[in-house]
Amino acid sequence: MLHIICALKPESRPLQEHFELRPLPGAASIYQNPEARLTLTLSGIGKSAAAAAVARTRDHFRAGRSHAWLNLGIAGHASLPLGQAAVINKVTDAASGKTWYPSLVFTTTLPARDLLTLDQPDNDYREELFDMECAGFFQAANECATLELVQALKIISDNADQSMDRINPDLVSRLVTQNLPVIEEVIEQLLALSELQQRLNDPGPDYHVIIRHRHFTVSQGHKLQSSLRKWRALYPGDTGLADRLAGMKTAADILRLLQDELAKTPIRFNK
Amino acid sequence: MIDQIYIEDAVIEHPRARAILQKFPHATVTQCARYGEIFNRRAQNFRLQKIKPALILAEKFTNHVLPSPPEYAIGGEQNYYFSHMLNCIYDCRYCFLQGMYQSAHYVVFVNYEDFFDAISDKVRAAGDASVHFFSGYDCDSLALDPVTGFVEEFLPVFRGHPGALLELRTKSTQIRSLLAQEPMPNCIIAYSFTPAEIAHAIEHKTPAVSKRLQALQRLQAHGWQIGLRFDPLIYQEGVKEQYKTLFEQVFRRVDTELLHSVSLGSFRLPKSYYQKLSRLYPEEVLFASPLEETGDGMVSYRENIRDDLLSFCRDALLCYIPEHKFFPCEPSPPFQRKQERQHAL
Repeated sequence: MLHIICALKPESRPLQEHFELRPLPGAASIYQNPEARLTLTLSGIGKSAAAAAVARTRDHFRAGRSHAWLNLGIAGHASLPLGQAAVINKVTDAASGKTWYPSLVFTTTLPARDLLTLDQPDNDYREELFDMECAGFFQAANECATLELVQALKIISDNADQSMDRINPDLVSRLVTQNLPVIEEVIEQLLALSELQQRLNDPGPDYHVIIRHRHFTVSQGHKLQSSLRKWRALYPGDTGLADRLAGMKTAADILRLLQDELAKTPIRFNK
Repeated sequence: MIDQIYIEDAVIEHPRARAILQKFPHATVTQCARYGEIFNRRAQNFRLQKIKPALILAEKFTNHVLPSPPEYAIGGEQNYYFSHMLNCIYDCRYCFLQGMYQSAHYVVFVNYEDFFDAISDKVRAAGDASVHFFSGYDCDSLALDPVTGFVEEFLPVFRGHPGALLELRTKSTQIRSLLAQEPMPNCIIAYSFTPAEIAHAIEHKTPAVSKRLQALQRLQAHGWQIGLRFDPLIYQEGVKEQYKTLFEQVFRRVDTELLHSVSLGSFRLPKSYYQKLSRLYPEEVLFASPLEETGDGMVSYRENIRDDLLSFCRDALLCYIPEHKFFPCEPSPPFQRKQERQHAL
């Protein structure tokens, strides 16, 4: 699952339309697509608002470490042209000096840029991107997820020649719309990484079937997960294990049987 | 190959850092204060980072040369290792680096001169004792040599210390710099091997066993001393036959007269590393192998499997080499724990 955090409605509107993100009943400013793979939360302006939006989204979706997060919005830069999109490889909070280095493990045609998060709007254009949310976003999202799954994508909305006074909602939506192909590319790659992590962390369908009608202590639960992980490694195509264990009544019986079977299984790297 | 380079502010003008940057003109370069800000951050995922690792250029301030694990010893009275680089471009599933480090990024310490001084200090302090230095503990010694210039820079130091021995441990076929130099009697190029079936399955991104053997043969023909490292021994069904075939393959090519040493060691990991690795790679057959805690904080094969395989390989190897060239490795958990501490910032 991927959670997008946007500050402004004009930033989010093209995304809502393109990705069919619909408002979630009972969750103000949170949107979700029909497949429930993608969500969008409107944060409002500023790093505290961005951090709060991450927390709200995390709580609403009980987001685990395998969920991906993307801060998407506009930014200023001295010379980059309006509409130029970039991924971010260093974020600095101007107020505290704190830095984050998002780990870009996917391939993108977008340039990677440094970004400075300011507390107030500023007309002093510089050689790094600047915005008002990204540091708050990273501060909060890095607490929720694996670092590689927390990214930012910014679109230049103003520069030294075309200052922020000219920014209006239509312009912002137009800039986001014209970048939808690259935004989609980044989203798809982050979703793929998130789903890989989800698969690796998931104890598997057998685990849930096995524990549904039997009592496992916490320690037995860990042993079961470990045994099932080994089982899946040794029998990757086997989907009938839970059925074969259906007649066994206790956790101890199941763990013993799995252990015995695993001990008998030959180790072969090339199946 | 490398799209992202982080560079510490302090080394941005360092000639070696500049030279490395020039080799990657299209990479994005990002400055940082200290490499630990990136490398040691918590909540990183080694497996995800391994998809596209970045290069970090940094300076190392202390511990340039450290006492080496006893199981590395090949006859020296004093044994040290040094790491101009952290992490490896290869992706061997048994590698302890995946358990030791938070990050899969490659760190290159560009202040080689401080390593040279530390090496010379140890040689001087050793006096008449034989002193051995090992490279290839925290990285493959040669795999990134075209980028780091490691061979060209470090070998002259050992030419100046003919009494000190240097081992370069590798799986790489990047041997151009070695072939361009006069071989040194106090330098061993030590190749690691597992049987081809195992290497193919779990030594990802490494040169095939046959390519390593070709490289080894070329080095030996050029006059370099060779070491053979069958460490870790990896178990699977039919493994004895596979090791037997590997030894036949290897010793058909190697001139045993010019062979410096052969070492052997079982697969073992500190328990915490094993737990991390099996979570990172839950689908990996290696971690479903018959492993057990050995009582000293390590995880290794069940005793009967471990001893049987070690003993089989020992006997098989001693058919090819004299006993004085054979060095079985014994695990040393206290050392491993010490290393964990030393690598933590």
